[in-house]
Amino acid sequence: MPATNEATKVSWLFLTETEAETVDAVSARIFPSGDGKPGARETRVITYIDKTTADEDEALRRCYRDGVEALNALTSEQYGQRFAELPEERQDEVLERIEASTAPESTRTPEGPEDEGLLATFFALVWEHTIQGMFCDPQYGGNHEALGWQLVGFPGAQWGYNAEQMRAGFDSKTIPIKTLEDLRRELKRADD
Amino acid sequence: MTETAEAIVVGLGASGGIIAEQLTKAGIRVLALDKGPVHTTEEFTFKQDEVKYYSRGSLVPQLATDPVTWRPDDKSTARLLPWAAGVRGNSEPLHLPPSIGPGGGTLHWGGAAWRHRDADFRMKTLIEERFGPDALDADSTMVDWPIGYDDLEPYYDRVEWELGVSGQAGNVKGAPNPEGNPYESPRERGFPMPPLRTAPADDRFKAACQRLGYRPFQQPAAVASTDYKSLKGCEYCGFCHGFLCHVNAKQSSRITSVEAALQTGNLEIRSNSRAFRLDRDPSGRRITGVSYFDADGNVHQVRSNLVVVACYALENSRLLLASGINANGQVGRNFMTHSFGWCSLVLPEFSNPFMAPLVAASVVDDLNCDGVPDNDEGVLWGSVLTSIPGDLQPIEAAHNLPPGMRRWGQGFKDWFSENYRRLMGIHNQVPSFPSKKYYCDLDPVVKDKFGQPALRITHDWSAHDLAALKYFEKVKRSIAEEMGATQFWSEPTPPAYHLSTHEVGTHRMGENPSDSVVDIYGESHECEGLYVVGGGQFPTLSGYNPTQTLQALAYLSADRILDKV
Repeated sequence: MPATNEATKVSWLFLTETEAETVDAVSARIFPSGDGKPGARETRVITYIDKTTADEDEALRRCYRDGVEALNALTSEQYGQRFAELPEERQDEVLERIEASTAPESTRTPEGPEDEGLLATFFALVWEHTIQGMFCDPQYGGNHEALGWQLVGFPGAQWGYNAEQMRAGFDSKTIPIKTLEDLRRELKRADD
Repeated sequence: MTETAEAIVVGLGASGGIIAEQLTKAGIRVLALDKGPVHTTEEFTFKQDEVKYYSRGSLVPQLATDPVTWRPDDKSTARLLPWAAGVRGNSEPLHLPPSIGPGGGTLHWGGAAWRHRDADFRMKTLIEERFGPDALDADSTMVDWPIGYDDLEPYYDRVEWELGVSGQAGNVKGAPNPEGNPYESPRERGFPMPPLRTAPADDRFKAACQRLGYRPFQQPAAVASTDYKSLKGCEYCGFCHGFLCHVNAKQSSRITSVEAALQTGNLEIRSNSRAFRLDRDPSGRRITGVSYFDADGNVHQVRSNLVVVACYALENSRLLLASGINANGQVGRNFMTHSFGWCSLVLPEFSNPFMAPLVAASVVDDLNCDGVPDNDEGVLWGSVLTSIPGDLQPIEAAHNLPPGMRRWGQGFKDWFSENYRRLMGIHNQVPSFPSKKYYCDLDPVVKDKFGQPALRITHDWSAHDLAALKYFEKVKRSIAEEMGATQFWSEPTPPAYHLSTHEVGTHRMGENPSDSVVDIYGESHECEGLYVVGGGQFPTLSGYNPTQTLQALAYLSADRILDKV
């Protein structure tokens, strides 16, 4: 099975190649790339999700496993292709239908959380994890090189801010971004 | 041989910490049981971590280990809190019970440090005088407090000066100061620390409110503006509410009263120790000790004739019910909470909402308590209205987007990259009224992993709650417009959650043993030597945050206990 992008050419802690490819494609529709600014792919959201599924409980893993299977079954049936193989516009249509809970009855699980359909829950979960993977501290595997923080102008993990920086209208992009690793290094230097 | 303790305190949060400190300083040896872990200061050196503390809620009890169920009315079947259950996780730890481990709710809290006003103790009388005897629902169980502001004033003072609160007084012994709260009830002296530096967008809020004729002033804060006792001056890092402080600027019983109690040598803390039964003598009228599970689930029993239960309004009532201490049927009744009217704004200039504590902000108090103007919505009691210019990280911000906007795709990416740095909030909190319809009891089905019954909450937002949310939304919208906001929206109404970390009322205090659970000192009417303390004692919820009032009550309880021993 061919990998569709760079991000899936690594070995995963938990996800299969197909799962990584599919989840990566979904998260890339949440925070798209292609406008010259970092999106889910550049910040390596999929790495964050792989680590998270490896660490978290079985209910979460099952939601990813079953969700990917159901999504690809849906697109295969309707378009003859896996979700990741569809053109972006078509992917958006599929996700819009899922979000509006118009997914076919057959994909619903009767005892799913909050009685949502499996695919609606799956998409909501990928959304949560995409946001987390975009803006987490890079130590979690996402927000690669703090690109997510750069995108929105968040200076990251700071010890504090001074009165000048706290003036209304101050351009926060002039504050050097720090990660938890930077803070650890600073504290270690101070101790030496 | 059964172990014996001079006194047992269950839960070392805002109340339990204070009582443990006062008892140990008087020479009483206290055994403290806390179901959470001991958090060290070292643990919070690198707390600037939104995934750990916000997304994964690492400080708060999770439903998997501490199940709580909810239903809107007694015809429905309760289920695990639907706003926090499921594979997506809680996403908003502040709609679960508060943090656990020594420090309790003062680990995660934002540090809004309010005294009630005199009027808050007489809510029922004031509402009925103004709106008539039928103004409250037929199901209302509202009563005035058995104590008044003057009774608590010396204890509010102790909270502010012993633990540390920053702010500007508005009324010292009747002398008004326009820089402070023009509506506060008279205080004997001001605050031990000046107000914090405010977050960037606060000046714009304050100026707009002044133009609209309000009298804004700065929020009193349990966050140190300068070094004070065990607290250090705030660094304004912006990871505050829901996080722990890396410099110990935020007042938490973990570093104030619990630390002081440890220094006496009279406090022993057993963490990860979960009390499951309050033991009594055969008559049921006298406390004899506490049974608890250790981290491995082994059962332990400790005997004591002085037991203080201080593990939050919810767990306090669950523990009483699970122990069968409810002869008059009043335990768990009168559940009250706040509905949060979160509103968000996009401002024309950078607001940099990730700086400063949540409480480095201004407040409009003109519409609180009986100060709420006559209105068409039928609002009987007001609320504090607060600027929220800081303490907002990107993951949390992405969870509060304008309604109707697609939450994904290029449009979302453009909007969020452009506007995250221009966000700001305005907030108020509507106190729910006590009613026969809203209560807690034991869930008949759901149990925790030790086989103990979960607490079941029966609560829905009342017509008054919704009317007040609507009224205050209009006020906030007018302030946002005056501020020049380019976008304004509100959290959906009615709120999806029914927990706000401001739950109170479930073991009401009163002078009459037939219609209340504890006396004004927190001692059980039913069981001598058992004190059940915290916000659960409140007869009514105020428009202000509850913590400083329950801290004041804890000092009152401690004084009483020491008088009696």
